[in-house]
Amino acid sequence: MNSDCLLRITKSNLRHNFLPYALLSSGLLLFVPVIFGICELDRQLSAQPLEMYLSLTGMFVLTPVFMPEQNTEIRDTVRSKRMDCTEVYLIRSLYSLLFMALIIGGFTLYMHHMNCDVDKWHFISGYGAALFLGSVGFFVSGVSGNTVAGFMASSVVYIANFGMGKKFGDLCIFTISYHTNGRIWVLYAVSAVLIITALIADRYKKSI
Amino acid sequence: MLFFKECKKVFFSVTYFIYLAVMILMFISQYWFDAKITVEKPVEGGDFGCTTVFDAETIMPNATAAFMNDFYNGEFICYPYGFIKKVHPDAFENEKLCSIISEITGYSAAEIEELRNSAAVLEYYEEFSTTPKIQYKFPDLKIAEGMTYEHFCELIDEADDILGGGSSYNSDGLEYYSKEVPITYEEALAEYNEFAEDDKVTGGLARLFCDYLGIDIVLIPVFVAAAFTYTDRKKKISDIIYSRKISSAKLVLTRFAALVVMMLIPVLLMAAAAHIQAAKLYSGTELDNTVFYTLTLEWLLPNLMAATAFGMLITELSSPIIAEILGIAVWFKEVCLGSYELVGDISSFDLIIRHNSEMYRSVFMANYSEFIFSRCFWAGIALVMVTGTIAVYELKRGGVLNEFRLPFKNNKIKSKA
Amino acid sequence: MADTIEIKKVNKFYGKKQALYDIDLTIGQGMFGLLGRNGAGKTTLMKTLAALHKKKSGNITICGIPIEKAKAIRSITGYLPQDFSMYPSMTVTESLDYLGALSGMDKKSRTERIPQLLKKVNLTQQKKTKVKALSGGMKRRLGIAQALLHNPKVLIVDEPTAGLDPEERIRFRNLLCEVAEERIVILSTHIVGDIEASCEDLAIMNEGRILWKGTVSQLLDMAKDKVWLINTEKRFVTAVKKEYIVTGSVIHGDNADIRVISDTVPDLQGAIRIEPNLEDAYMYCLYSHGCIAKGDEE
Repeated sequence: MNSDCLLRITKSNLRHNFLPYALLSSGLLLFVPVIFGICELDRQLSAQPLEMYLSLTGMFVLTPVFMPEQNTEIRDTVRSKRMDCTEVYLIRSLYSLLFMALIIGGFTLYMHHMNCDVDKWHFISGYGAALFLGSVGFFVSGVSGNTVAGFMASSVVYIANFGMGKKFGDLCIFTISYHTNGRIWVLYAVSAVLIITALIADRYKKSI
Repeated sequence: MLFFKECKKVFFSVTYFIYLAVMILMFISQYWFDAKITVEKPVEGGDFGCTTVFDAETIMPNATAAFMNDFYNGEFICYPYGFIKKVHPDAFENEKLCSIISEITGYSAAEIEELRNSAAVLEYYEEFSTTPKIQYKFPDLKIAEGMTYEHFCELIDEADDILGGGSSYNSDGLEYYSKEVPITYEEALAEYNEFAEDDKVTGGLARLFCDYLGIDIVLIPVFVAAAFTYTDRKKKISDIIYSRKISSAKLVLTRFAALVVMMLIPVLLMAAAAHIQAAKLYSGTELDNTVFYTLTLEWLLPNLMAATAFGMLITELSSPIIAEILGIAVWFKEVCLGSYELVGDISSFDLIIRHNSEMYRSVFMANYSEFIFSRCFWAGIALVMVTGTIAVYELKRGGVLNEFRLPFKNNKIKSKA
Repeated sequence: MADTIEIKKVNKFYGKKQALYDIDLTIGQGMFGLLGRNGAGKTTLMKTLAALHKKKSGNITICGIPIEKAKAIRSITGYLPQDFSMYPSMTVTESLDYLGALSGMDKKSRTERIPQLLKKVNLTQQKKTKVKALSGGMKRRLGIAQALLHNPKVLIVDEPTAGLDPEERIRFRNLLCEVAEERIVILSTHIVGDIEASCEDLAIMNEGRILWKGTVSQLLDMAKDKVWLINTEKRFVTAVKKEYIVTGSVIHGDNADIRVISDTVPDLQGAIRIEPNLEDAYMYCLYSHGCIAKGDEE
């Protein structure tokens, strides 16, 4: 598989399968200054726009990774090609993860510029929240073959965190906002497990 | 019978399974453990906490002092959309705020500036913060002579507008600055009697039950309805269904009814569980044995209907993903950006009703007509949306809307032969 | 490297349900037809050959490559699924470019090959049309173009003519015959006419088993002297259908011409022995293996 092929695959997927969700996620940014003030926020308040709002980016871009091939007519055509379908999912996941980093990282820098008390932990925790929400959607969508269910599961986790965030311990996505003292690496590790499990489950399911 | 067949389809869908799991989880983690702590009859001589009493003479100086403190610090804490927002007024806004203070206190701008230097200053640290904050105290702050409470409210509302809304300086939130007095035994007993006698225990608990479940029931059914409505298109059987004799109205209404009934059953079962729990915890007390079920139907059914109809309509019109994203947006607006009053703040058009306590029956009953209005309003909106779904379905069935799709579709447009 | 597909004792299960039973086949260059009723297991076998499904037991080699080497198999096979579709928002050229990249073709070969194939399948004018705007026939032609894109040694096409109009079907069959000159083409269908018009070798499947395999002429020979034309009154049609395997009946006013299959001379007046066509032969094959019985049509 040469680099040109990877480039073509990435470009096509970005344009046809990613763009609407990327636009939606970028749209979230527009409302941040309206909903939250982002000027001179202290450490805890600075985490709110990142953890409680921009984390939705993860749900929007990671959950639909499996969606195009959930149309069975397309799935068999794509799967009959030399390149493994899992590799296509990996490409989609990678640029989605990169996009999340751009949105959340870029906004963290902007907050820093606006004299908010932010540091690398704000990025790590905001990104962790997005990653976890996204990986839950990714997992449910991959395992059930139903993206709608993926979005549903991800939203449920998001809502539940508002009501009983602290009860989730290390899996609370509002680590700094709720001052949970959670170990953020656990959030990352569980997300990785969910993503890998979904990819394996998808492979297994389709090769029965 | 078609209705039961549709119910069966709902029952065997993945999203319904998630719905069941979420509702049970929410019920147990939120309501069950809260309700386990029983309300005890107050004993004379105990500590019953404090309450505020309205006193304009206390409110005006207290609110003005707090307002001036924020003014001197150049920072106001506001909640315009539920989330905390620190507002830093610019020079122009500061000038306007200063003139408001001037009108309230009767001081000139220069005197107000002078007061900053003469005020008692307290340095303190906010939780988890390393930056010191300054609190200005004005023990003998005077209010301008002849200042009425009504005019004070007008001025303070003006200040709130300048700050962009959501500050604690608005006429509705001024109670916060009123005098705090301890609750007497008699008051505590009256409150308890309201719970035990007027509400017959279960009335209060049923409100708490509906409050907790009401948060989720405005969103989760959207997913179930969206996924269910999308099934025909996903399985590419729309055309087969379109070609049947059944009318669009009958089909859509049957499916709507099946979704609502199937999602209502577990809620009623949870209400029954809550009823049994209450009967055990308050054995020996006279209970209202119907209120858990009637209030569930009154309070939660309109929400369930609205969420279901919304999911069906948007999915029929565009795609399930759009329905979900819009559902999340509405939920976010209602829950995160809406009112943060958890008790007694009911308006006529509220989608989500909050009353996060088994107590305060009188506060709830004071807003009862608004409550009933809002429930009828949302049930009506649900029926309007169902009618809309029927219309869209009929148009698609006739081929009028076949080529119409909003963006983000995950269904392909039927190819033109 | 052998230019054949060797299938030996292949079994396949969906959960507990067995879908393929001891399939044995050798397929050489040219068109090979796989004929069978709906649900006979044709698609399962095709998907197994395209390395999309895993077999439970047995061996399959495609041009000497064992089926387990999925990547290598996918490099030399082109697959057109029964219900072909592509991302609806892509144009015809974009889809082929994308699928070519998935097949590991470099940019140069994609740029060269796509216009050639579009010309071959007569889609040059639609090259900028979005997939969602293509007609059924056009979509099927795009399907064959994508399957041929990386110049595979083996082309697997599953029910490609179902739902096409007669003109489009003929055009499609001719296209397949053309591409079969230099590769193995496996055509699965339940339409006997497709096989008759394009294949020399064929196999008949029923309930997951290979019922019969050989050439078209061998199949026709098998039914020789077993097909009869009966001219009778219309009112006897139902009675005839009860007694015989009927492959066709044409009503003319009060009379009817009925084609029946029978090992012996039908016990009816005016029965004439006629040459079997492939449809008759196929029905006879099903009948002689006990897959259909007299009066089934009733």
